[in-house]
Amino acid sequence: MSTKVIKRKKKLDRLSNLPEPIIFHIHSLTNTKYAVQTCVLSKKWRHHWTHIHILNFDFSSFSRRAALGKFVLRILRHRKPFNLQRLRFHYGYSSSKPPPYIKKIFKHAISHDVKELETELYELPPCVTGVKL
Amino acid sequence: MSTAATADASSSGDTTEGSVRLLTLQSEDGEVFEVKETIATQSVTIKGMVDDDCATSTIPVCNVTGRTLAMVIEWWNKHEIGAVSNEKELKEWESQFDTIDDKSDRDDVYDLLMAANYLNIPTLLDCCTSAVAEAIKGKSTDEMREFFDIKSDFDEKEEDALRKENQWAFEN
Repeated sequence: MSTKVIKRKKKLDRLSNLPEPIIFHIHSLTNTKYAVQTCVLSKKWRHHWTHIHILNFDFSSFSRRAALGKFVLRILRHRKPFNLQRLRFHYGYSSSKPPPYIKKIFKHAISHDVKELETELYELPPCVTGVKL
Repeated sequence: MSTAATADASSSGDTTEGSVRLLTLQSEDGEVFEVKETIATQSVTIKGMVDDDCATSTIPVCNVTGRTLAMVIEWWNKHEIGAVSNEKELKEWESQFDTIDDKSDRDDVYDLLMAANYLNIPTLLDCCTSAVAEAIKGKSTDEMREFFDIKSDFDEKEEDALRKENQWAFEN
């Protein structure tokens, strides 16, 4: 090759240049909150998180319960309508009283053909039937 | 046999060792490895070549250096059925690949990710993807940019607007 690329190993952004399916999978494996936070990294990252196929909501990454609710509803509205491989909803304690937005989450999951569901909530909405728990 | 990888072995295509067929793989930088077919077919790509009878001559492994290919072969050897006595031992061994402590680890994981993607090795792909996911966890935007050498192409105004728009994701 006549044009030689100057090797500046330390400054090479290889993460942004990974194949997109790999980036989407990386996002799916992280807490969804961290996945969304990557939207400000650069223009390339702005919409990457919307391709997640695993939703991982964890109350421990929020100091206010209301913030989690707001976050969850936004995610459901903005993620691309792909099928869901897994939904993990960790509310922080085994409450018999699920949060008010729980129905929306599970309805979303079921309408997107969710394969696995993980939650510590005892009382699940009646729409959750025939899903691997 | 402790390892099936032999650098600079014959490049005459497939050979046999006992009753085991050997495949010849050549890295991007010209290193040649002889690998048991039973091991190399952990790669879905190579398995497809074997099934289609296309693995009779040297298989070029594009975009993968000899150094990385040696690591991939090490991975295959450990994941061969019966290579380790139990799942716990395997997980312990895998832990050297699933944590990224510094930029050198990070670059190795990128190399392995690209190799696992090209050769289609689901177990290695999963392990390396998890490693990157774990490295992202809990890092602030600036820490992520620094660690992964990501250069922002937003101006200050654009970034502020985006943060505001996604404020719900940045709330604690």
